[in-house]
Amino acid sequence: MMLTSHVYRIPAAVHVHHIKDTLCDHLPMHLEPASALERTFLDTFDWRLYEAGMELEAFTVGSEVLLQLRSLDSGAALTSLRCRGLPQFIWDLPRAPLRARLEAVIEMRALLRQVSVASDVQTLKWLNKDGKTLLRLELEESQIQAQADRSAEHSLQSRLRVVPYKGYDKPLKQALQVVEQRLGLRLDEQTLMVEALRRLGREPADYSSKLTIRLDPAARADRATKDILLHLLHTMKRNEQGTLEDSDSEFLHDFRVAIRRTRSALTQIKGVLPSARVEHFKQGFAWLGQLTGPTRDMDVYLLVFDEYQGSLPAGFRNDLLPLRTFLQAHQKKEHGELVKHLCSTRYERLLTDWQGFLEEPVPQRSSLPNALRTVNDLSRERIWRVYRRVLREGQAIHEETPAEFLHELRKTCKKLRYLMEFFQSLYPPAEIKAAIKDLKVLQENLGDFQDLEVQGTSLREFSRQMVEEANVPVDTLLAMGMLVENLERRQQKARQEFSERFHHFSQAASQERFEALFSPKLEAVA
Amino acid sequence: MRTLASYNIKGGVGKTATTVNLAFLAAREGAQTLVWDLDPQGAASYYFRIKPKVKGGSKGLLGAKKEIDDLIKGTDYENLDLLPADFSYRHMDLILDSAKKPTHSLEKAVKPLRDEYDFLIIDCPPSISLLSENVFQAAEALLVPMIPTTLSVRTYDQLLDFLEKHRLSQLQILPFFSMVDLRKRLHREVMDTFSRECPGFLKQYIPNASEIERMGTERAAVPSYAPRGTSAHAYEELWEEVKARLR
Repeated sequence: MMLTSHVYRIPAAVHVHHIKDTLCDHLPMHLEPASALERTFLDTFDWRLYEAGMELEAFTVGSEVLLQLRSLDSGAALTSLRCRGLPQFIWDLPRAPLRARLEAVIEMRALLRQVSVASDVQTLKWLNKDGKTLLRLELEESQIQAQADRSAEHSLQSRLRVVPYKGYDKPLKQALQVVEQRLGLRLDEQTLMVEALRRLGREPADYSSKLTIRLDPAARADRATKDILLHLLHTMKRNEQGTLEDSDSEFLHDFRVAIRRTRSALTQIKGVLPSARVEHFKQGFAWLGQLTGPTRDMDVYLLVFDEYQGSLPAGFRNDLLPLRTFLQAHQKKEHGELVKHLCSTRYERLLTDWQGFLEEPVPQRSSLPNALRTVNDLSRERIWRVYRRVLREGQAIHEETPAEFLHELRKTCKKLRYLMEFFQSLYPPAEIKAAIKDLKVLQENLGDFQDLEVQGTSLREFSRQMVEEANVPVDTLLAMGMLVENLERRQQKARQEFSERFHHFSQAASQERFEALFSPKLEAVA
Repeated sequence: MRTLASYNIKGGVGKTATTVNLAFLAAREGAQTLVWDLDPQGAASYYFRIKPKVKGGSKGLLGAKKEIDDLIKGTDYENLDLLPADFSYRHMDLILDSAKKPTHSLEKAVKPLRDEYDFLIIDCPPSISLLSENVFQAAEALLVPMIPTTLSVRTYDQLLDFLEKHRLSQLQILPFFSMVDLRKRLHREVMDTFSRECPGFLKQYIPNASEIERMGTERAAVPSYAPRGTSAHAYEELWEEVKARLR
């Protein structure tokens, strides 16, 4: 069982030698040969481990890597694993407790080297007469290894780690006494990783795909809209590198979502920005949206491939493998095309012009219908209008209604969702979260319904292409046929579930919630 | 928590070496592992350099959770803890017998540890007793090291009979050959016969190596002081086979 390490800060003015000498004077410590450690902190681009309260440290020891997973709160080590080389994806790790623990958290994202630290470590061991270690003390002097520039060294605070061994409480007590009373050391307030990041001018969790923009309710609608769009542009840019390198599938995903939201904002937030410019940029982003589609499609099918395999009876699973090969080859090709476009002057110009436009201050006076209204007012009006449309369109759907009506409703729900997310900061957090949750329940069903249909169509298209491109075994086509059948069945089930889902969304409690948040308020009597 | 026990009624067949080395490997992979040294001789405790002393003796051991937790010691290896042996364990049967369900006392004692450890590996004394029956009840698999001689084969049959008679067929038996000397014809012949007649035998065997004998002087697990040797490799392969069987 792993116990909490007590980590103490050694103030800059104090020499590590002095600490070592004092410890050896007052405790029966045995000095081990000094060692040099290189450690790298790993996390996904969106800091999933950090958000889940954990820290993953990789120690390079010779040719092997020791991974240590720690709780951020207590510093207690949760589990560890030895492996060869730094894992890029969670599935690169052998099946072991550490992998099992992180699989659901990390999913398909790449583990990036967030920061690397080099440490000189002096280890002191308290040994009993049997040579058993009862306590370990580690004196650490560390520096950051900045990735781009290896020669730049940033010294970090020196630390003393007190590592207890279970069942040997007396040595721990004695050591803590010396450390805290005699040496007067205090516990480390920020972990090594956080200190190192901050020294590089960064913060942990400095990226999130969520829309975290905070708006001022009294702000002008046109300025607020530009701010929202700037936030989205920033998200796009942050994901550019990862998209170009295809480090993992989610960079492109976040890039695309930012594009989609941009287009939605340009369409839904009406009358705030000059229409000619809006039209121009709408076209630009439509082009961008189209560009990114084919690669994302391939990514999605590759992500869902394991599920596809699992859905077939055991004897048929291997028959599906040629499909994966096909998808991988096409993904590479589409990604190559995407890269070409993202490196083109057309793309560069689009973003530069867009950024320029958004950074332009809004005109003092504007003749646009909604530009001068408060963002609070406008957001409420727009959201309410689209909400009513969702209710209307949903109520018109019954068992016999053709599928296109559900697809339309899905689009309307999406518009509503984006609007609610853009303006989230203007509303009481608990209430709007609950309202979004209600909407999600309905959206999920409509999304599944459409998605399953698209998947079925795509699989049939893939099978045609695979036949054209190469000798695809008949068994593969049969297996794909089975998939299509499964999808169709699931799609029917989704269709049947619609009325219940819509009922949940349109029930009194939910409507009251939306009304309280967005319904047009009566003008106060002056 | 997966519970394994290293068991054989005969002594000197490599039970403790098996326990210590497999536990080491489990811990190295990141699994939280506990070794329970139930042998009053305390060999496992000796290898881990931990005193074979348990506060309160056998009585303290079979008490409530807080007590058993307090008795556990951290070994020098990360993720690996030990419940040490105590000389009073030679009277364990008497204590076990006084409980309401005499064969379930051990199982009851380890229950509170279920969420703390991924593996519990019990090092058993060479005997057949109420303590052994408790182990059979508490464990999900028995690791049975056997020296490939005709007598050991006989002992193996006796074990199978015993388990069947006591309706313990849910207990997985993982027999394997230990202290193997391939220069001896008897060893080769017994191993041959067994692999044909008992498909349940693990394929990997542990050689009779001085590397393993050195555990007594090194007071450490073989893969820690001889990581690239054949013995370490043999234990690694054995561990892989055991894990595969446990799934």
